[in-house]
Amino acid sequence: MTPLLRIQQLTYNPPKRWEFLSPRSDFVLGPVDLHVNESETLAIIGSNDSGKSLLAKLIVGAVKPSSGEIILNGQPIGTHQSKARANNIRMVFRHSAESLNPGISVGSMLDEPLRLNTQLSPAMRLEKVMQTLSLVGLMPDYYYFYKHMLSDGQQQRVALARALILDPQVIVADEPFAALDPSVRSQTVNLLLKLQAELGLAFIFISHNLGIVRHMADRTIVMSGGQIVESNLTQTLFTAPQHPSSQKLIYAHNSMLKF
Amino acid sequence: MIILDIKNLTLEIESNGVLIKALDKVSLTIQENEIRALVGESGSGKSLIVRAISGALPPQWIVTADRLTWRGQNLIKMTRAQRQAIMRRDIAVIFQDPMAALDPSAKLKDQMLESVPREFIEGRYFWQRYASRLSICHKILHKVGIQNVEGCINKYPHEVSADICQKFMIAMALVSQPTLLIADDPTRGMETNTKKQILALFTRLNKTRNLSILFVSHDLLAISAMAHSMTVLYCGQTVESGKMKAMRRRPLHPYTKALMDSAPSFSPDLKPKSMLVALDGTIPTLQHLPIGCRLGPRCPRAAKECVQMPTERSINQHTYRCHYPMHVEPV
Amino acid sequence: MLDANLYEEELHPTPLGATWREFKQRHVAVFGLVILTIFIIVAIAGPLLSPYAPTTQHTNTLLIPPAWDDNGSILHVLGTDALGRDMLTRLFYGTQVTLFSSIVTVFIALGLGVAMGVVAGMSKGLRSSFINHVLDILMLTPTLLIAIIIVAILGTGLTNAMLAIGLALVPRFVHLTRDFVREEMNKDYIKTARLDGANLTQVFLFNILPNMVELLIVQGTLAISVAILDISALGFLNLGAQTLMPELGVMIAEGLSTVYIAPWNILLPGLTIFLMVLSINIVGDGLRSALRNRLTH
Repeated sequence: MTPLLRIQQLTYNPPKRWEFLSPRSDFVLGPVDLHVNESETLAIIGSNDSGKSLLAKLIVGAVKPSSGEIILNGQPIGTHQSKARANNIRMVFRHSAESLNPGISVGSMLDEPLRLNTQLSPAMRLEKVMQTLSLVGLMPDYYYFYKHMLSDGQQQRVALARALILDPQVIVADEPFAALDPSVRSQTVNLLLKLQAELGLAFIFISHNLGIVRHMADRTIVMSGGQIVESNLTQTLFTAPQHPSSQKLIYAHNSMLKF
Repeated sequence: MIILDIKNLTLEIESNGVLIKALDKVSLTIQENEIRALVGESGSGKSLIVRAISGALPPQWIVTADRLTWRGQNLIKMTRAQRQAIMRRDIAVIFQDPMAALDPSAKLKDQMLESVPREFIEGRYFWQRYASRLSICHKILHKVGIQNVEGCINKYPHEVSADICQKFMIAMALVSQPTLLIADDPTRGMETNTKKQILALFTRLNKTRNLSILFVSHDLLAISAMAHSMTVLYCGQTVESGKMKAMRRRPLHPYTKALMDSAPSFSPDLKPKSMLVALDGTIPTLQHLPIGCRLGPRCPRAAKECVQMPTERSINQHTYRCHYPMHVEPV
Repeated sequence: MLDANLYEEELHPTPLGATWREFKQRHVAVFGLVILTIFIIVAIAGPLLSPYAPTTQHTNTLLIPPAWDDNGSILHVLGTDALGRDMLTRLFYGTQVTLFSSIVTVFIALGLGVAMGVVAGMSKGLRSSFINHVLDILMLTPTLLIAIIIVAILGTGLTNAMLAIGLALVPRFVHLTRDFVREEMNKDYIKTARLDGANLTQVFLFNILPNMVELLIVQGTLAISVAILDISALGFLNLGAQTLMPELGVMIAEGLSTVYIAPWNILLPGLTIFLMVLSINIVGDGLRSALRNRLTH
């Protein structure tokens, strides 16, 4: 089965700066190869400076790679800002105070991607927004709400709706569960599983919560120092990690389970 | 021996002319040498309890309790000076996000030296006192497991990693040799390796220095690895309390069970990518608190009685507050 | 009466509505708003209601005190000046001139300042910081001084004075806008908008501007009070509006020569300026606190 998304030899070199002006960031990422299939979940784990967030931004197009190719459905995606990518690979940012615009209503937030990327009439856009709101489990009233009226879980759902509204094929999420409470986290996990089953989404997410990773991901990638050091089926990785970095992580996680 | 005893603590505040009970008859006890976990999600009032114990509540809060005692001394009736004396020596608090809690403009050395209590310093002249303070700091920093003490101590907080920062905060808290350490979500947002080191440190301190710890968090994995006993808080009410092993094996309150279910690692038989068992709805805000048992609107076992606050019952030191507890025949 | 809206006991207003609700709770601010509204009404409708024209000289009623004095007359409620012109009429026209010219001035300054600030905020590197630092130097000098310098170059007159004060007010708007835009551009929601394919203009208009509007209103209000004072000061110094125009500063300057026998010629215009500036400052301050608190209540 041809993979939905394939990343080949993706590298990122930090831009050359004047020596004395730049901070010491010589972080080189790559070359990175990965692929993800339809209805599959891929998790990326690793320590904090392993380059996970950078990889997510490269996949989504927020950062331009130095070399390498991203192939979606067999077609390579060209420069880093293109409509094809915006429509098909969408990102859910880490939940923070800044991921939603506080000055505009939820309806406007969801309308904007439609307005910029599709040719739908205003009436059709409204219908699509309402459809997406119900898909993520929010009531139609929320169209008029502002960010400060929403709880954490609801804000995360709005972020998810914003990603889903263009009917993408891949969603990339950077630590979507980190800031959520346990009960809200369970609900979000269930929502994502349901959406994946219904829409056939491919899902790439970064997380520190290895319990959720083990439960949700089909395959897992371990990153360290900008390279992928191990990539395997989740169950295999968690029972028999090979690389020292992954062993450190998995054993730390397992040691907390028994007492 | 019980060192901290809280019984029926109620915290009220007036908002828009109505008295709201942010904490409703909360009970908590900590024994000597015990690690107790206080579990609750956001809005449950965990930080309020920490502040009530340390006396840092703003004056508009109304505090009533049957018992709020530290080693037998009533904390509510004390004067401010006495309360501060206790806080300085016997109880220490550490918070989440250690890098934000440290002074970003001072080196770690200066911050540590400031916090050594005067009683421990020996020497008459100021250079002797400085040397004595420095040696105490070095000893404590070694004890918490910071390897390169000389190197770290001369850096600023933003130059060291998060785990060293948190260990440093713990060291600063320990320097006054407290009996109780209150840790307000210290491992929030940390990656697994760092979390494991901090939790191992807590366990070691508990065993070697007879330190009791009140660990406030909602990270069940971290808690179950370390805590001896647990109190579960929902929306300002204690719903269950007891020994960790017993609660994990047989949670009596539906909310405790929901919390256990939210961590897939606790259910090894769970099929991958299956739906987690979750409670519907969200945590109510302070303005819309339900009457009686506050889990009522969300609880799958709720019935008519649940509009009345259930009384506290206990089985074998395992207390719970539920009209329809699990695994128990209803009374 | 049945209310179909059973669930919403509290309102969920827009951020603007929340600001207004916060503002309403500070009684001093509402009081200031009332006075400001009175001034605006006077400025618009006053000249239509005034009994006389501002420049007609009633030669047989020179220097008559206000009506509550023994020598005053009800025909001239607030007295007359040395040339027999009715004080009440002149105050009406004066308010109109001062208020409107300062509002126009601030609008020009806002437009220029925001435009420059947005360009500076969205670009990176030396270009954007250069504008900022040059304008910061300008911000050190009082606006009045800069205005006098510009008037010395361009010549006197009300329009020149307005231009001068407008230019003197531009730096603070540039600074404000640039800082705000710079900070917002780093936030995640702008990044998502850019990923969606919005170009910079669209990002500014639809994402940054809604968050910036209230800030601009507050700063604009406070800038209006500065502009009123500066226009009156320039009029007083005879560098702005000239003697023939009924402008509050000019009126004070003219009343100086007869201050011992007819103090109301100075008091009344001065009091008007004072009340205008006070009310605008109170409203601006109230708006600022309302903005800060609106989302936390």
